[in-house]
Amino acid sequence: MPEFDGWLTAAEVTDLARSLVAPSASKQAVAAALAAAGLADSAGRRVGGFSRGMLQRLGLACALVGEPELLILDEPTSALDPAGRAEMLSMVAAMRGRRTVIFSSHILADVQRIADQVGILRDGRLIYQGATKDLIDTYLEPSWLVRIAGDLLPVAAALAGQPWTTRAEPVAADAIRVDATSLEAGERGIPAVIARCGARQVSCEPVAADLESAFLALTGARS
Amino acid sequence: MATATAPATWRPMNLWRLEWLRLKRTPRALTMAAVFVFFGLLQPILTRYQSQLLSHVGNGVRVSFPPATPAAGVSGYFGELAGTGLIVVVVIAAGAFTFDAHHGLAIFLRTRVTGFWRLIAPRFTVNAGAAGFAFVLGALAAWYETYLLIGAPAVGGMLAATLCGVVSLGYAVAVTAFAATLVRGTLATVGIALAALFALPIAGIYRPIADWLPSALTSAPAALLSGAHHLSHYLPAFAVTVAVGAAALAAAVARLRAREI
Repeated sequence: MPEFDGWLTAAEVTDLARSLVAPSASKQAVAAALAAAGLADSAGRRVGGFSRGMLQRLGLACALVGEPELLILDEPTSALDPAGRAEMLSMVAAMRGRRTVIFSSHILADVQRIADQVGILRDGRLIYQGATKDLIDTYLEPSWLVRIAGDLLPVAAALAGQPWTTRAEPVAADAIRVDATSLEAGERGIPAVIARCGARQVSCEPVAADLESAFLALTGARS
Repeated sequence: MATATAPATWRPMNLWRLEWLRLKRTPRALTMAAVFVFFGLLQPILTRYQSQLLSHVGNGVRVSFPPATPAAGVSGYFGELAGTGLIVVVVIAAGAFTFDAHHGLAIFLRTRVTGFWRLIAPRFTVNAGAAGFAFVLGALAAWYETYLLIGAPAVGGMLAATLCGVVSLGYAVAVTAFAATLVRGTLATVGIALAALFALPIAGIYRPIADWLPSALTSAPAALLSGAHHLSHYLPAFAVTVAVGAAALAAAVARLRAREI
């Protein structure tokens, strides 16, 4: 968590950062950094009364005032409430296309929301680096939730017997969770099996792939 | 979102203004001035009325003192160089130098400054300057009240004694800066700095070096005010004090550079 002298105002803290990293920058740069961090209305307030979220934003303003090409944020959403977390993520996402942001987090939903590229560290070693989407696609088995009208047990048994199925089991009175070895096998095979069983299919939805599941799959596969 | 407009009233920030605001917006400057002025006003009264005061608390015991002199009236104030005044200056300076005690603040400063002298110089200059200014204010108060109650102290002696006090306080701030690089906490820094400053007079027991030690300046005012010594007698102590103070600041910069956050 950033710390500042509580008797300084937000504008003075940001201006101090400007004087140290970009002394030639104008006062306007300070105002712009505060506005980008969502603190324009609190520029004249002393930071001793700031909440944790506001201190995080002030830390971001101090980093932005130097117009860095590379910004390293160490767990910027830690210790923030859900609203503060959402604001911080929105601010970071708004930097897309203007600067490179390296963002460390244990909250993978945050990473999935804003990161184009992801690196996964385990025991001090980088075990994956690449596009976030590729990680999800590569390490997550495709899954579907199939809803059936009527008796679903014969359909679940038929699906479980397929060579391309890794898991097929009822998860509700009218739903079967099906995991396949590949996206194509599932998309072709599931409708065919249901048709062969003569069952009435209500719906077949892909289970949303998330980074957390991919992370677990990746780290589990390497353990 | 609010627009990015720079208020016209902003004054440019830098590390010097930071220290000025630290003095101005916290009770530091006021505390230093209040302590020295308080003792400046108190000591002449105690000197002038010491017989009457002791007779009131002495349970009938009568104590006779020689008539109060102007030199004695202001000497009590200069004794604060080794007392409450010194402690207050060290505590206030320690608060400014111990930025490493606050992890987030240390990261903010250390990742942005290009040299540690840039952190030390304003802190030393502003704190030593404020301590010196407060001490001079107290000396003026002591001089004025002594003039009213006892008589006018010699101006030459007053100026010489005040100079000794200002240099001594600057030395104390430099020692505090170095102490802050040996430990991280403010309390520990105060303890080490005061131990170093109070232990130095012990070395003065060895007469051949007594006149060369920085502690000679804290005891000099009494001799300067009474006319026992001239300011030139203390030139060796001035030289050593300035040299050791500068060495303490240089050592503080070197230790800050070597220390991990």
